[in-house]
Amino acid sequence: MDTEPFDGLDDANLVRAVADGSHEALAALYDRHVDGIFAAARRITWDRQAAEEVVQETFLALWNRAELYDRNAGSLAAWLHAIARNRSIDRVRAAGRRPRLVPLAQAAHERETDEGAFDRIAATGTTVGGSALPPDPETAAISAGTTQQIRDALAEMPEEERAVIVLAYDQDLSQSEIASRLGWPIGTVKTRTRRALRRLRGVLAATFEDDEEGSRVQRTASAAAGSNDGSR
Amino acid sequence: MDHAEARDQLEWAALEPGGIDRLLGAEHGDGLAIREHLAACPECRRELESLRASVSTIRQAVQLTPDPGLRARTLAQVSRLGRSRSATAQPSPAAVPAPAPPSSRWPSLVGAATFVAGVAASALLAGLIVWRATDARLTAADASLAEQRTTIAGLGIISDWTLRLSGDPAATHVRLTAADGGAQAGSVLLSATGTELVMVASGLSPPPGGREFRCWVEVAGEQVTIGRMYRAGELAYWVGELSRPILDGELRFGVTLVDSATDGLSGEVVLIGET
Repeated sequence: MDTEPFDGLDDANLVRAVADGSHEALAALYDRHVDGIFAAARRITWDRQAAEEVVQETFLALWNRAELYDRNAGSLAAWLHAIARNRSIDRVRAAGRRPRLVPLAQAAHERETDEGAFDRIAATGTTVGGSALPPDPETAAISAGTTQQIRDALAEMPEEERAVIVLAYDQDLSQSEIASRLGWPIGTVKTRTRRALRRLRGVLAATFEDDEEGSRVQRTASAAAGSNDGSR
Repeated sequence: MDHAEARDQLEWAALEPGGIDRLLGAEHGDGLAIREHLAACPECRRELESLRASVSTIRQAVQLTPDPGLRARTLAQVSRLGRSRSATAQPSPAAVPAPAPPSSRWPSLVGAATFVAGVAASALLAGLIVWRATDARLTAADASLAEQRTTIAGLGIISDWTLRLSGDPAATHVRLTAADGGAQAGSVLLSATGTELVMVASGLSPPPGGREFRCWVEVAGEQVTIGRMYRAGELAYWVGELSRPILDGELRFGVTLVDSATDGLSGEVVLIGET
């Protein structure tokens, strides 16, 4: 669906177009907000399928209730996130479980349970807090930029490589499980996964090189500014 | 084991869940060999750390990235299940009536040229009259249909949310009464989480031009606008997620008739109620 004519419109105008029945405006809003909504839903439900259902319900709600959006009450992103958060919590409750504690899970190694991670960290004498310290703004910006680079690379990757990397790193399937799931020879799966991993590592390496170059330029500029200050 | 072999083994291991830890933890064979190599090779240790960091970053990004096919599925679901939002239909060319056929009595009374011109003029006049009448009827019918659709959609939204929120016994119910003692009435249903709300009012006449009904909540003395009330037939309503949760405590809800051009809540309070 072509959304280019809507690129220049702000969210409020797009919502108005949705209220007038424009599917293209809805698609433009999807493109603009889906990453954040999916990530939020995924963090709460910890389940890809549930998170995708939350995304679908959120945009269906936007379509059905576009007239109710009041720009004076807050941003569209906040409105959509509120819908997604409530839908996600509903799903977690319906499944009879609490939202996963992400900070602890992030501290865990691959395939290590929360309990295992807790025991391991506690055994080291390290204090286990309720939440992780927020990253400093620079780290957060770099992290967000890196994630976006990986997302872009995934979007441009051949489908067969994207499929194996998602099954390996999202579903935590072994190479033989992926081969069985996709009906491909194990050798093909390994080759494609390795190629995909190398491709993504290449993206990361290029990103970090750019960041280092940027930092170097900044440091040089700062040093030059300091030198100029000193000469006055 | 040389550098190339070590890196090759690590890379293959990184493809499996927990593969690197398993490889490095193996008590014999490849595990032993690679540990010995890493112990003596700072370059390969750096490569191992880089690989771990890359896999961690990629894993996080992959987990938080929606499937590209989700876009088409979402838009298709909206088309299938979403409310009808077709713009008010304009009369199509087919709706414009064709000119009426000429009467068979006329040819004997006038000449051929006069007959053709007369029939054409009459048909045109008749067509215009019928078209104008039909157009007006179609426009009125379209407007009525659009209003009915809006009402049905609004009632559907109210029912859906009311049933969902009222299913939780911890939800808060508040009755609204007319501020001037009149017959207007309403109700508020606030979810147990304080994040979702349904407010419905009856007996409110449609607001005059340039004005609207706005609902609000007062928490700890602070009055906050919830939003503009919409109409579904005889009802006025607001349904949705609140931009910030309403916490426990004494709450007052109300509806005020305000000037649409202003942001505040100054105006005539028409409904009010409290917990």
